[in-house]
Amino acid sequence: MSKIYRTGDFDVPAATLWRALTDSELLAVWLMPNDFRPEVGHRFTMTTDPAPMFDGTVHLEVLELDPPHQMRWSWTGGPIDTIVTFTVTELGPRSCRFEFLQEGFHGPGAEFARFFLKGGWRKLSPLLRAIATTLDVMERNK
Amino acid sequence: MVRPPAVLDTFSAIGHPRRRAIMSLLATEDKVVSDLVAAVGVSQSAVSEHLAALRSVGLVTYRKRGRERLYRLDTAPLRDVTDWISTLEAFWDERFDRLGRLLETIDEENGQ
Repeated sequence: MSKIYRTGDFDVPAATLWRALTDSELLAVWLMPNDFRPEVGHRFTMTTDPAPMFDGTVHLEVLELDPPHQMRWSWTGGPIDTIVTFTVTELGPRSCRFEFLQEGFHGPGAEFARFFLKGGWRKLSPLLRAIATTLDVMERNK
Repeated sequence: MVRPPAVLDTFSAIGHPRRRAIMSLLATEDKVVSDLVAAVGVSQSAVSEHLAALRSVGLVTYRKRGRERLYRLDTAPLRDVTDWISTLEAFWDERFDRLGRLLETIDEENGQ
């Protein structure tokens, strides 16, 4: 299973981190300008600079909201559709753990995205045979 | 009659299993259409259409060999895809730095 996963501990109360994740104005400060509301089913967008194959708009929906611990969004931007999960774990009165997971990667580039996330394609050009082998394996596993 | 390939970018090009099968075959050695038709097991017009799609994004090139075209895989455009994922990872790393700085600010405002 491939994914983008990051985690970090912050010396602030868990409630403070939760606020940074669920307050539209605070999200705009650290993530992107948005019309987020903390309501399951709310569809919203975030905007950033365009990039190749990405017009700069991310389309999202709040899938799950479990304050002050977990929030899941669907996240579609550029060529791949994903699910993003934020998890907050209280470690102490002024200490909490933040976990971020982006997974799913549906869409036309999905299989390749998954493969790339494993890191196998970083040294791409010299590895034609490896590509061929992997493509075959992916095909057989369909 | 071969339809114009409805392929816009590298992601769409590699999203089709038969096109990946063709790429896989070309990865081992350059081939003519008839080789690909036999190996992939679809009609020549279908293979030609997939080759046209792959050529439109630069994943396949060809050179003449007698009356035939000898097709070759070019992996350079796949860098689009790797770049895209790398960009996304870099995006999150940068945003997490921002989140850390924001949390410090909020904490100070709360007078703690």
